[in-house]
Amino acid sequence: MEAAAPTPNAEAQIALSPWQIFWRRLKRRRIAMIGGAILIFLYLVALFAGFVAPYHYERMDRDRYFHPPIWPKLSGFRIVVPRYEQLPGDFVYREVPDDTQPVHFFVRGDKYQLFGFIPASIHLFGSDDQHPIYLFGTDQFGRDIFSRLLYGSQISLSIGVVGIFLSFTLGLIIGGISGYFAGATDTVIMRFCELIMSIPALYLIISLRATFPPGMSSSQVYAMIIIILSCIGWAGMARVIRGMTLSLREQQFVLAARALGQSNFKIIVRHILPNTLSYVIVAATLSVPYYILGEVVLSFLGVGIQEPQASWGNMLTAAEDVQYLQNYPWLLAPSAAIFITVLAFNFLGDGLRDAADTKSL
Amino acid sequence: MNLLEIKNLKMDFGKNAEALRAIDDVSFTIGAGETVCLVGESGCGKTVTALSIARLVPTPPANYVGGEILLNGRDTLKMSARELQQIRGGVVSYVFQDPGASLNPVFRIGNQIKESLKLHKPEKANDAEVIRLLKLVGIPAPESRIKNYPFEMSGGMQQRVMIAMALASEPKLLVADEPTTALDVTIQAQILDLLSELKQRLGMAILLITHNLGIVGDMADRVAVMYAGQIVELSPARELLRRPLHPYTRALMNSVPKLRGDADRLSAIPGNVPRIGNFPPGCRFAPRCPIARLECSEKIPELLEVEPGRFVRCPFWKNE
Repeated sequence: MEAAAPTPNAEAQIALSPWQIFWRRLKRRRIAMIGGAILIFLYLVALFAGFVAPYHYERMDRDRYFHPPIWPKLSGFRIVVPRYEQLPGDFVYREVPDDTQPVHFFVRGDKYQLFGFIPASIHLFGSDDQHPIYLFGTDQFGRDIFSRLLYGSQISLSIGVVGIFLSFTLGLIIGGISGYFAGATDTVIMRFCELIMSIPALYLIISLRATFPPGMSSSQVYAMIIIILSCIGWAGMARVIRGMTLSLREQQFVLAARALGQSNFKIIVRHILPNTLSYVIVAATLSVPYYILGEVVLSFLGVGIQEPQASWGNMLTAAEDVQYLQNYPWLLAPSAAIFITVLAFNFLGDGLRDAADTKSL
Repeated sequence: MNLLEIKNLKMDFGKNAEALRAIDDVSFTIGAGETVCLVGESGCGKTVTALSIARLVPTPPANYVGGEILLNGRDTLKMSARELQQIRGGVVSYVFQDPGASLNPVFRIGNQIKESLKLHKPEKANDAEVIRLLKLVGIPAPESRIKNYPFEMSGGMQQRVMIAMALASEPKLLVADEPTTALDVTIQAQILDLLSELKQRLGMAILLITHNLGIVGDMADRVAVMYAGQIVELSPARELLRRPLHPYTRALMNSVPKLRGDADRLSAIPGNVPRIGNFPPGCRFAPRCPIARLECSEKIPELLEVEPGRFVRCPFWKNE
């Protein structure tokens, strides 16, 4: 057992930490890495939504309801955006030939608050009022769907992470206590978990929603959705952690920690729960989609994020109408965003699970 | 006053009708700086007795029905949870059988030793002290070792780390529960040498649990032999090894293989240790005892002092 001498050769001999091994194994899984890259991209865009979005989410263009997507195109060496005019009838638009405007980058536009508190008005791209850029078209109020999608992603994407954080913290601590103390404590906690899990989630969500007063501000609604989803979500987590704790508490290092005079709470938090971490990370990644979908369901039912605030769920309420859907299919853009996000989380979660599983290659 | 005095300790697993007596009337003492060995077959109650000192057997299922465990003159059976936390690691430290399982696999060893320091010597919880402790237990290049995870070390090194953790708080009593069973023979010798050396240097007492009578000769001042939850013989180590008195001790020593023997086969004690809750009436060793008589199965013999300092639980110890 000689310690590695500080020679350049020695580096190869030093064993990797568990995290380094985990990362190496993850890197070999291409689909998981793609999922991870997509998520990093989505979260970055959400963080800078105000800057990337060409318009404010509340801005209405009263001349262009249900406008189809307008994409800039190349004209020589310049990127230009065409102008559309409205034809008589039900929101039918036609491109006006030879009337284009160049797309400008880093232009001044609608005021917004970067990260929620830095006032700013610079946008990544934009054009003039006669030549708007509606990448994904507009909705029934003439609002840019692309911009609203970005603002909505701030809510929809963060709700998953914050919700998971809350419910997993609850689940870890309650499950850890239940498994560590076992006996009557365990029985009471587990029966309560089963009670929560036996109620159909959607009814529970809606009845919990009813306990909150109507007419709340959007940040209150946001917090409410997270609390409701976490109140339901922790039970499943607590059950699994309780099972793992039951086996971990019999490990000798737990006895060793007790023999050192460590308190029960610290043994749970410092010695038992960290040993469940690889499972928790995988489970968290795979559960984020449920929270995103939960917000979508609540907002779609009209009890979630309220207009004019944008979220992927309440944007889809516009697509409720079959008539609309037939004529203006771009209203479905949020569902594509949900689809991509959920898929990316699942890809990443599957890869994490394989990388954490020491039995696989 | 002795450092540790266990008096007539009785402990059951379970309560009332289902109660199974795991420790039955165990008494022994450990003086400051003394090494006492607890010897016996598997399942005879060595480990639960040792764990009881710091009340590490969870209650329930354990149930202490009688006796006292006086550590520094205070009964640990009557201590509150908070007091016990201070005793554990502070006055009595433990080293367990399987060092690989005793270390938390997800933390660097330096941090685990530091945790022990934080609990009992918070003013010294720093890297320098951790390195000093690792040096004390003979780990080479401790500066680079503190960053290691347990799985990067060999069994012997892991046991040294465990000993360093146990010593961090400078305990008065070190309980080593078969500390070398999981290690190979050369490493066993190293670990035992280390324990004797540390004992000399730090002046702590050691309670060593083992089923290896060779270790007893090297380490122990006194020996307590346990059988089926009772102490059957308690004696200074040298005398016990030279002239065992209880038939069980004799049988144990006969079953140690000898290098220069004429015997073709290993001699073994016939039968098994009786299962807890299924003890025979009277002397518990009687069914396996070569010199058992009828009256042996009638009454449990007393632990009697037959020579100064020598206690035997057998009235017929004089019969060979």
